[in-house]
Formats: sequence, C-alpha cells, structure tokens
Amino acid sequence: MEPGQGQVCLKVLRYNPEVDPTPHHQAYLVPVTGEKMSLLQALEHIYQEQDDTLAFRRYCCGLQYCNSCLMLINGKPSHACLTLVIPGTEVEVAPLRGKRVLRDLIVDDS
Amino acid sequence: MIIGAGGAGARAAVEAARLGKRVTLVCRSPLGRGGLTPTANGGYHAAVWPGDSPAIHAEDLVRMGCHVNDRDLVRVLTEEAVPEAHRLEELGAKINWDVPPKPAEPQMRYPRSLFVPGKVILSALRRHLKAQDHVLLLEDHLAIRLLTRDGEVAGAVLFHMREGNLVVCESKATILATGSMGEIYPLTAQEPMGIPTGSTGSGYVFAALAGADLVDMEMIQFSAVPVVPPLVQGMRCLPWAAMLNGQGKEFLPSGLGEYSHEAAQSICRELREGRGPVWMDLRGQKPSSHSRHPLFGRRNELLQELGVTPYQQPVEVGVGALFMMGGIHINERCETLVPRLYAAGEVSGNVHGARRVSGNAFPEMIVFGARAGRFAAQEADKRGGPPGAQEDQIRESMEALSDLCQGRAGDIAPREMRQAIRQIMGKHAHVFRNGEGIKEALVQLRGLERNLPSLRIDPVGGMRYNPRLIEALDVRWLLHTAQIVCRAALQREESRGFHFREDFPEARESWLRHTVVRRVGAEWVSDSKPIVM
Repeated sequence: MEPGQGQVCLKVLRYNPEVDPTPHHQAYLVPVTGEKMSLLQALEHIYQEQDDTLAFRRYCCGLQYCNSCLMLINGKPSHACLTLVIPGTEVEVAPLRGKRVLRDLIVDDS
Repeated sequence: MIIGAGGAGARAAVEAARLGKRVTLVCRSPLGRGGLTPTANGGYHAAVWPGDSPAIHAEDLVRMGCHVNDRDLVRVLTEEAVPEAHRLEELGAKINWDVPPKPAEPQMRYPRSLFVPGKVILSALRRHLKAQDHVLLLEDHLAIRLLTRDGEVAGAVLFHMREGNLVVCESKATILATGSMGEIYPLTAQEPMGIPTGSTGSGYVFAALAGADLVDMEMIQFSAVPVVPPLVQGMRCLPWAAMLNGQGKEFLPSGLGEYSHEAAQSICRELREGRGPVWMDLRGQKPSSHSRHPLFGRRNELLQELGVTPYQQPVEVGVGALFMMGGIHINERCETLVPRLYAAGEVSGNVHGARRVSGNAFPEMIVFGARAGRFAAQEADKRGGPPGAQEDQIRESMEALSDLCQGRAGDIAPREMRQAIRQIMGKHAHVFRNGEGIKEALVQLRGLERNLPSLRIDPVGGMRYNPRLIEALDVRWLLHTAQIVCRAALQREESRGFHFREDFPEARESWLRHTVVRRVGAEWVSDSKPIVM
C-alpha cells in the first residue's frame, strides 16, 4: 500500500491470541492532519475513522512519562505520543518485545 | 475496596492500609498510567504565605465558588491542605514549597501554589502500596456496577480486561474515586492529544444507581483548550496567554483569571458571533517556572523544536470541559447517603460550588482521599463482615456481558454512539444553555439509550481487551452522565458561576442551594436541597 499525498502508511502487527493462529501485518493509510501529527494520534484516527477493532492503550499523559504508548516503532522501542509521522512514509508498528501480547499493541505490563 | 487509582484512590488505599485493613484497589489501567492525575499541572494550593490562613483560603473558595460550596467541606479542605502536604512528602512525593509571589488567580487574596506534579504523587503512592502485602492491586480491571443488599453497598462487579472475565469483589466498605466525566463533550482538557483518559462519569452513575444523591452536576468548568495543531490538542499544561480573535484583537477584559467562567463565556461569544478563530498568543514571553519543571522538560523541548508552542506561534483554541465541580454528595467523613459507600476526589460533589479555583483539585484529592481511607477503615472495624453479594445482581451482570458479546451484531458502532453523545452535549449543554435546548438534548439522549441494544460488538473478537466491548461499556456511563448533567442544568433556573442559562441570565437568592439528581425507577429525576453553611 503506497501512501498518497499527505498520507502516512502504518504497517501494524496485529495479533489476537484468542482467535489468530499467528500475528499478521495490516496496513492503514492515515491522512496527516495539520502540519504535524504524532503516531499515537494516527492510531486514534484509525480507531475512530477506519477500524475500531485495533487495540492499543488509548491513554496519553502528554508528558512522555506514563509509558502507556511504548511500542516498537520501526523496530525501536519508542513513545508513540511524541513520535512524529511524516507524510509520504511507511512506519512499522509492533508491540514491545519480551512481554505477553494481550491484543495487537497491548502487552501485559503486570 | 477502592474503585479508581488516581491520586484520591491511591491516597485512600495508603491510609486504609496504614490502619491495618486489607485493601483492594481497582484500576482500569496499570497504576499510574491512567486517569487524570498523571496529566495534571501540579498546583497544590495551601495557606502558607505570611498573613494567609485556612479561614482566608476558605473564604476565597466560597466567594469564587459563588457561595454554593458546602462550608464544612471547604473548611476541611483548607485546614488539612498543609498537614496533608507534609504527609505526602513523608510518603516520598517531593513538594516545591517555594510559592511564586503572584496569586494563581486575580481574585485570590494570597499566593498559595505549592507544586507537585500528579505523576510524582502517584509514583510515591504506588511505591508505598507495592510494598504492602495486604494491598491487592487489581490493574486492568474496569468496574461495571456496585452490588447492594438491603440498601447497603456490598461490593462491585469488575471486568478483568486482561483476561476477559468478570470478577466479583465483596467489601465491608467501598470508596468511589473514579474521577471526572469530560468525555461527554466534543472538546475537553481531559483528553491530551485527543486521546481519552477514561473520564466517562462511571462513578456518578454507580453511586446514583445504588441510591446516592448527585449534587450540582450542571456545574462544569470550561476553559480554553488548544484545538490545533494536533500535538497540543487537549493540552492544559499551557500557561495563560493573550487571547486574540479572528480580527487579531484582544477581547478578554483584564483581571478575570484564566479559569474563570467569564473567560470561558467571552471566548464562546467570540466564536459564536463569528469573530473566530480564537488564538492563544505567548510570543515574546518566557515559559513560567513551573513549565520548566524537569517533568515537563522533554515534552517542552520537543514542542519547542516543532515550533508548536504559543511562545513561538499562536495556537488556536476552543472551549472545552476541564473539571466537574458537582458529583456525589458527601459529608466531612466522605460518607455518601448510601451506607458503606464513600466518595473522594473529583467524583464527589459539594466542595467547589459553581467554580473551582485553580490549584484546589489536588488538595481536594489528597485531603479527602486520606479521609475516605480513614473513615472507611473505621467503618470496616465496626462491621463483622461484608453484607454479602446478591446472586441475582451478579447474574444480571453476567447476562448483560454475555448479551453484549455473543452473537451481537447490531448496526451501531459504540464509537459512533460516543461521538453522537458528544455532539448533542456540545450543541445543547455547553457553556451557554437554555431550557429548550436542554430538553431537546434529553430527547435525543433518550433516543440513543433506546439504541443501546443495537450496539455492534465484534462477535469473533473475543473478550480480552476487545476495544468495541470496552467502548460499549463506557458509552453507557457517558449516556447516563450526559442525561444527569442535562437534568441538573434544567433544574437550576438561574445563572451562577459556570452554569449560564440564557433564559435565566441572573443569579437568584433562592438558588443558594444544590441541585440534586437521583435515580427513581428507570428515570433520572431532579430536585434541590440546602447547602451546609
């Protein structure tokens, strides 16, 4: 899936342990609103406008301190809240490694 | 049992545990990673300035609260704000006692801003709770109803989101510390970056369904909230700034205070009379000392880099919900009208009157959190055991949940109903209200309620962290809370503080009273009752 003008392509690793035999990738095209948008806002956009089965911790303290939105972004553990998405690019998004995946991007933090 | 693990719930848990009680703390997220406390600025007002006193602090809160605060609760808050700040430090939360000399709001007589970010408070309380072996922490658990027996609260049914099953928790005493309800509005400072915090109003609904009174639910503080660019949307960590309208003119009369109802009303007036958009402009000013706190440092650096702070370019603002003054009616011991049920923090109702003064949510949270823990522990001491859950109530919850999940393929997505509720409230029950509009909102909300059985839940999605299922549970609280707010707003036929009725634009002496909303049968009905002088 190629991102068009003003769009970003999010390739999200999805996995629902209750029904999926293995994880799989799903690609979403998200319009980048305003000049700048964070990855967390792009995920919220997918949830609100495209696919309300996508699971991620929908919380943001706004201070990059709560770690709710820690995930692998292009292979690196990062905060989705303050990672910018750039129009015309593709971003790989996956749950943190080494923790049990509860669903999609949500891992067991207990 | 304590439901809600923001500052009030966590403080209550520490207190009850200190008194030797077995405590269950229920949290819809991992502790410290949910709710409003971690998003809060960090102002903690207390009378520490030379010449100031709890009595003067109390007078300010009542005068600025437009005289509908319960005086006993205001007295407790102002008298215990200082000792409770010391106790917070003993628990490990470092407080900055270096009060800036300018009062946070122009109508306050003395400066009172101690500073401790919500994250710092929660980290300290969390460390303390994790070290106690008689504290059971139920994270990722969403409360879905209170259990009652013979008019007393007997516990709660919880949905364990991580495992996808129901958990029944019986208790001798139950504290609600579930916070606020900003998500019933299309724009709210309770959604940093536009992401919800779980401020759905669930606690108000639980309490009222169990028989408690909700007071002054029409009193919602609105403030300027950035709408674009997206990175600062919903942020409230921005300082006060010059407000410019679409013609580039400053329009706010000076001396109002950033969180006053007059300021919110002025901005709304510009927008609806076609003089928008409204911009917050801080170019040429320096960030305040608090925004330079290390906690905010990284974020500020990044925002500076991106050029999206009002220090670099004006930021467009709208008017969004910030704080709920109303809530569950409590007394000085945090008791509700329902035996064995306590409430503390923003979910409680009769502290702030018609306007919350900035910096006073934190002392409310800590002072009443500690009190709720203490008095609930005493209650548990007096009682032999919990009243015992009623099988039929548990069965009801199980059936409701399996109804939601099994083969339910209705045609309304839960997120769409959430958006519909927000549009209705934004249109008819926002800063400016009138009887006709509120009645229209109630009709539309009842229409949505009739559609609840048509919600679409992912039938093959399973139960664990199913986003549609969680949204379907949340949307019920939003829908009830929205109706409660409308009932209260219709009842108060005057204008006072943040409640402005276009059809009753003046304050009336006869309304030095609380509005009350309670559940009677299947209806929300409104009433009024005297304030405590």
